[in-house]
Amino acid sequence: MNERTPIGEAELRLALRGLRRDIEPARDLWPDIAARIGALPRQGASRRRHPWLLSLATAASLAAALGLAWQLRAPPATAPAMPAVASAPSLVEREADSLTVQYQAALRELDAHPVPANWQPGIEALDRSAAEIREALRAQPDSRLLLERLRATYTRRLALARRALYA
Amino acid sequence: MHTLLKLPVAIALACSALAPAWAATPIDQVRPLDPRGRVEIDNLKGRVEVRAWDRQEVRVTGSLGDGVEKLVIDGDRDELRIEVKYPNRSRNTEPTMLVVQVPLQAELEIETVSADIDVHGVAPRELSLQSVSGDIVANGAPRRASVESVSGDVNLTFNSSEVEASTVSGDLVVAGRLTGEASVETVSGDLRFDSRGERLRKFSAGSVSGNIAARLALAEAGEIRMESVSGDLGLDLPKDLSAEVSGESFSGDLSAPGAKIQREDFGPGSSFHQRYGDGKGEIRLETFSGDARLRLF
Repeated sequence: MNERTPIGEAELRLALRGLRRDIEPARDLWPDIAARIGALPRQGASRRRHPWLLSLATAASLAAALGLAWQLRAPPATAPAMPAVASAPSLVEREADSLTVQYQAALRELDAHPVPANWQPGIEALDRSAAEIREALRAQPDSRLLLERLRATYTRRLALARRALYA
Repeated sequence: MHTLLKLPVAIALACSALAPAWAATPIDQVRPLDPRGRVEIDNLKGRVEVRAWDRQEVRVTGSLGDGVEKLVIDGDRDELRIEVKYPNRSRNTEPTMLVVQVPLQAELEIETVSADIDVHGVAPRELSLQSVSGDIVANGAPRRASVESVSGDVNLTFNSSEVEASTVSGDLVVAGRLTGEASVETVSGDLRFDSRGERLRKFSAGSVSGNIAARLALAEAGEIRMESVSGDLGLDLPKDLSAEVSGESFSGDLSAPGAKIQREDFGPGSSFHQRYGDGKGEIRLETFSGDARLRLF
């Protein structure tokens, strides 16, 4: 019987995000989506009443187009209305932020246990690399390359922390 | 010499002969194994050496570190598991050295934490080597190889059709007559790949800050993908290359023979697209701030 542990759930969350990443659309959906976004009223009253709904729908469509996961949560109420086509880069950045939040939550559970000294060089290299990628994402927030590297680095870091539990 | 004078000498000689036994317990065990059987080896610290031989048996020699609970060898002719068992609080145990002779084509899986791994002359269908901080050196002709280290350096010389190898902070060298597919990754370690003139169907290499240097040939309609964040990429291919090559970088420098590098009018970013020969293969180089260079030889 597979017993569910908090650690298992944390890893599962990350694994699920990886699975969703692999679902690629059969064709490039972005031109259609961009056209629909362009046709939407920019500052309409209805949008002001429910800005999160439109943002969510737009983001969900973009997520499908890019093959990226989308965390089902509304943006902060104070978030500015998304400019029509310029919203694409921010999706990657949001995905990275969301991934980082989940990663940090998982890591808090795993890093509560002491890690042997000879594991430290690898752990520190991964932490430095994750910080470097996040910094790079601030300069190039629409980079799928950076998002993929960040995802891979987080996955390796969690795998190492998990393995250290049995060291 | 007088008997009384001989006694201290004899005691000293006896003590010196016993000294290694206090530090480590010698091992010498033999088990039968089918020529294509499977061997798993697990040793936390010390060293694991594997050598191929032409017998249908596995011989385990070496020395068990002081404080180690025991050496366990279990299984049958199809599959053997060799495990160094440590007590629960294993901080004060001494390293264990294992020298394992295996049938040439026996499948092999070795896992260590800080123990170095040294594999020589094997030709299994599957080879899997894993360490956290130990160095890995291996040569042979596995059909499929998977090698992973975290902070240890890895040096592989394989004749193989499918290789996956990765490190985090350790350097990675993969060379040999490599055909088929190869996937190599580091995080901050440097990576060097050389297929010794063999053509690969698919090659992928990635890093965050480690530099990557790859020298290989591409099979017809083959695919190469190399990417890094801040590490430099260098790709050397034969002049008869047939591929569509594209490169992209946010702030690194790009270069490829005959290619015109396009730069963004405003802000950072550069790219190129160049066709070589009939353009049958596909090559993509991408970095954030690292340089990327294609060279034809």
